[in-house]
Amino acid sequence: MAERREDEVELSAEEIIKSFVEATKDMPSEVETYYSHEAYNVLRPDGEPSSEEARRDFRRRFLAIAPSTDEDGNIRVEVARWTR
Amino acid sequence: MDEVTKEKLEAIRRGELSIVENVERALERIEKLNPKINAFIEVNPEARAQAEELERKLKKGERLGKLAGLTIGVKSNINVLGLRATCASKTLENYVATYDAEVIRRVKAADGIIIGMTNMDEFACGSSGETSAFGPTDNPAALGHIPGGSSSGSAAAIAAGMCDLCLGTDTGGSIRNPASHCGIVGLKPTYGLVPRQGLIDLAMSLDQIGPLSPDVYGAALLLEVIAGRNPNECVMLDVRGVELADELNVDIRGMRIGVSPKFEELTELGVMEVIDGAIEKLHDLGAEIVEVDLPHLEKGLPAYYLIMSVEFFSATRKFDGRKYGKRIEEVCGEEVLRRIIRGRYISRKEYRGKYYQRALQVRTLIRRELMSALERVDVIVGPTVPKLPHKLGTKLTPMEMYAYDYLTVPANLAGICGGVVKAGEVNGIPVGLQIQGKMLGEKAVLRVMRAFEASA
Repeated sequence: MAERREDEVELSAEEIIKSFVEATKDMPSEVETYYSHEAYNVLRPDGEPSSEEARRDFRRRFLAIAPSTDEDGNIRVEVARWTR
Repeated sequence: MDEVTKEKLEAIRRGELSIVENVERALERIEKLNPKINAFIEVNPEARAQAEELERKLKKGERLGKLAGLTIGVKSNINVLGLRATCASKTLENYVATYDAEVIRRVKAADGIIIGMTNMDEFACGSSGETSAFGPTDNPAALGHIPGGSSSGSAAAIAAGMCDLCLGTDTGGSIRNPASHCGIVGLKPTYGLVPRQGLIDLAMSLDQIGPLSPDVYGAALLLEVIAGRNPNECVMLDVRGVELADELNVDIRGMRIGVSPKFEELTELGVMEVIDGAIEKLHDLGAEIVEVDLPHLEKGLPAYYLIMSVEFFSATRKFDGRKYGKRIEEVCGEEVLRRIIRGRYISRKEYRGKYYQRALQVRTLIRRELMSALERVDVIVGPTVPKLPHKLGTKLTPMEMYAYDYLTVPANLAGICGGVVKAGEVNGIPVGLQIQGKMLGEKAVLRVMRAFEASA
């Protein structure tokens, strides 16, 4: 069903690509802009560790939204199909 | 609604309006109006308790932060601890945030009260507020019409007086577009001025969080609170903080204001007449009007939709539904799926150079044109949206829908700032004036916005 839905919207998805090709066919070649500025911050400061209470609270909240946990509070995850 | 935010803050600080009462009023208004407007997805159950705590602090004589008990609505793609960050999608309908986004930490530190999570176009994919999995939002300023999007709920909440200020996000116009349609104030900050940590991405090289407000002062104040470098983020400008609200100036004499004939080519006649009137008013206030050339402006739209789709496709790969939530392609709406498919198609190796890199080249061109124009003037003014909002439920083709974004995407591609203030109405429907400024040119943009607001 999902595949059929994907096929249905594929045509309209391609429409904007065609319009882009048409709109830019006569434009000159340029350098590429990935971000509007290049002030990249690659260093992170050493933060203070969270308090024990904050870590407990985060763990409680995190496990509350996990789809499945075991009795020790570990998250159960599915092994990806392609690894089997 | 000239200075409603400033007056309310002063009333709170003087003790004439209690913070608890302010929150109660907001909650009552949400309860009364939300069934019709659908601006809020979730209300914060802790809001009253937080108001009581702030009230105690105030009574003890403690100094409160800049937002001192104002109620803040938050777009549902921003993480607020304990509230659902759904992106208005079934994909994340049960996701309760486990932490506060950096902007939320700053709002809370400034004593703002998060009143709830606002509706939006699903994953911010839309310009109408109709694509939400929680139903469309109505436009309080023009009932029965779209409020614009994607920050539809935030804009509608302000227009309906459900809260004092809102946070929205703007990737291709998502703050400015609904601000225009709802007749309120909105501001997209310069890219890199406001932290994005804790925002669920639409397109990471374009997204910015910004304020929506009933007045210019409120937008300036909220931006002041959330702006400034976060050392934990990779792509941020090295700006420590900005002072905006107390420096608003209504005097624009001598300012150079750019207008482009391109705006008229792309905009409906009725909308353009209102904008021409607004430009005339700015001239009367003492600004010099200068024509600027933006010959490739309309090329920004298709380039934007290519870049955004590739980045969005990448951002959504984590929603694979492997035991966590639902696979996005299986439960999302049509527009989200369309953008994912388009992004996947363009991301294929054989098409990368042909489409994506070409789009990045167009981005360079648009950026250069706008930067060059802004070297000659202080700001560029024009329409925000080229047409009036359609009636809710009207069927539009994707290309017709994307046409709403012609005039807003260039600012995102260039990384510059842009604000919107109500210019007038066409048949009772608000029309917003867009004021675009240089990178970190928020002060000049806010100055023109405030001067225009004060002259109304």
